[in-house]
Amino acid sequence: MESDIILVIVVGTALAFDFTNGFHDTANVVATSISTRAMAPKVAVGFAAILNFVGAFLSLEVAATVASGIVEADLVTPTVVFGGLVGAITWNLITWYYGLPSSSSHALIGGVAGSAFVAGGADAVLGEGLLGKVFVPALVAPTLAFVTAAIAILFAYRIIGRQSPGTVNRGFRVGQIVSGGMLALAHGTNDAQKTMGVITLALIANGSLAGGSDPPFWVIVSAATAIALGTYVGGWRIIRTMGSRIIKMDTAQGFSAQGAGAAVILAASHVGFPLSTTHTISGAVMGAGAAKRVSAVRWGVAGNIMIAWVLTIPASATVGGGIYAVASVFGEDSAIGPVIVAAIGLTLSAWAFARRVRRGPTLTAAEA
Amino acid sequence: MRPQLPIADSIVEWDLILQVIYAALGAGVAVTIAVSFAILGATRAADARRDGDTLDTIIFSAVFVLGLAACAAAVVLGIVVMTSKG
Repeated sequence: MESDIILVIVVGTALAFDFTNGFHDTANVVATSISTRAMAPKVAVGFAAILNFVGAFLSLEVAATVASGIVEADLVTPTVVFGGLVGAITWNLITWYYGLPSSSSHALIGGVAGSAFVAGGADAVLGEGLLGKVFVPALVAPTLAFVTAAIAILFAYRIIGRQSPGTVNRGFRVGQIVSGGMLALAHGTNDAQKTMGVITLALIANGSLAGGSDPPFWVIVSAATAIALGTYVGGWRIIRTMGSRIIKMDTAQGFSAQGAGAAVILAASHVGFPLSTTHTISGAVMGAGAAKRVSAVRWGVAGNIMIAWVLTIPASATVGGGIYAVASVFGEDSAIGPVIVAAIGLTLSAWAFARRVRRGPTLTAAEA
Repeated sequence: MRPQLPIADSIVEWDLILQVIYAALGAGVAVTIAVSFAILGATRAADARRDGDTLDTIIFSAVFVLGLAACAAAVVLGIVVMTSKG
């Protein structure tokens, strides 16, 4: 009975994380398209939401374990996963509040690592895994996207240099719709599967599914729905940062950033190298701006984003570890701790939602 | 001779990183070039048609079609990559 309650809480928290993942990462897909007026804001988030939903069904190669190779697999219990998920959700909400694009995957890894650290001590976290699967990709993704977008925009300016701006803008806007669609599909494929993996793992750990099973259909549909709903709600603060606060971009820059970002993500996906969508698109936006004029990039904003990237793992790990400590205070297998933490989380969410409703719509007239 | 970093070599998959760099740089730049040429072809073909220049119309229409075909190929390749990952 107790394990069933923990299972229900972990499934609900995983879907909540999936929602914040979609909500937080909407900017990766739509910010440049909105900024260059390739699409109206509401149309852009609707389009991204539908393609995220479709993307979740494209490939069902679900990760076998959460934070595989980064924490000791034997220590990953439902309560550890619960702590990790709450850590990741908390970091996603903090960075959303400050309008900072940061990686939801890194937040989940950090949360689970912190939770596992409290559960099993320092040996629970595999330093080599963190270096190879998190820190190195975190350096490669933005740098590679920066260079790719910078070279791409220089070629684009060279080729279309003296053509009429009207036709050029129309052409690149169409290109942005296509590249944005590819990004949304890729995001749905990669990120919804993380949640499917978490829920499937919890079901297996609870004995509700046989080991090595594929995710049940309801898991696929609910994960796809949660990420699509989150994407549709849209993290407008991050969209503003990504679309107009880093650089004021023209249509060629918007396309180069999005096209280069999509190419980097798909190339990495093809060879099985884990890259963050957020790091990649942010780097590409900076590269497309810096290639035109280095001073075109607001380096103060870029610096704040990079600080958020550096803090993602330690901050989500701290929250994840703290939540695990509270959730397991009545015993690792007891449902009382997770129930208390979930009740507090739901109360805080309801309070924040009510506050938001009282304040009125989140869109400005121009965005609506 | 390249300095040896045995610990880093065992942790970081350098071959994979190099593959990503080659593929991403190639694909990212190629897609932007393809779209730029499609736009250039469309614009110049329209100008040539207006001026009654048949040869330029044919040449730039071909540039437009080739650019578009390269973009379509990139989209198909992207979807294949997404569906076959794992």
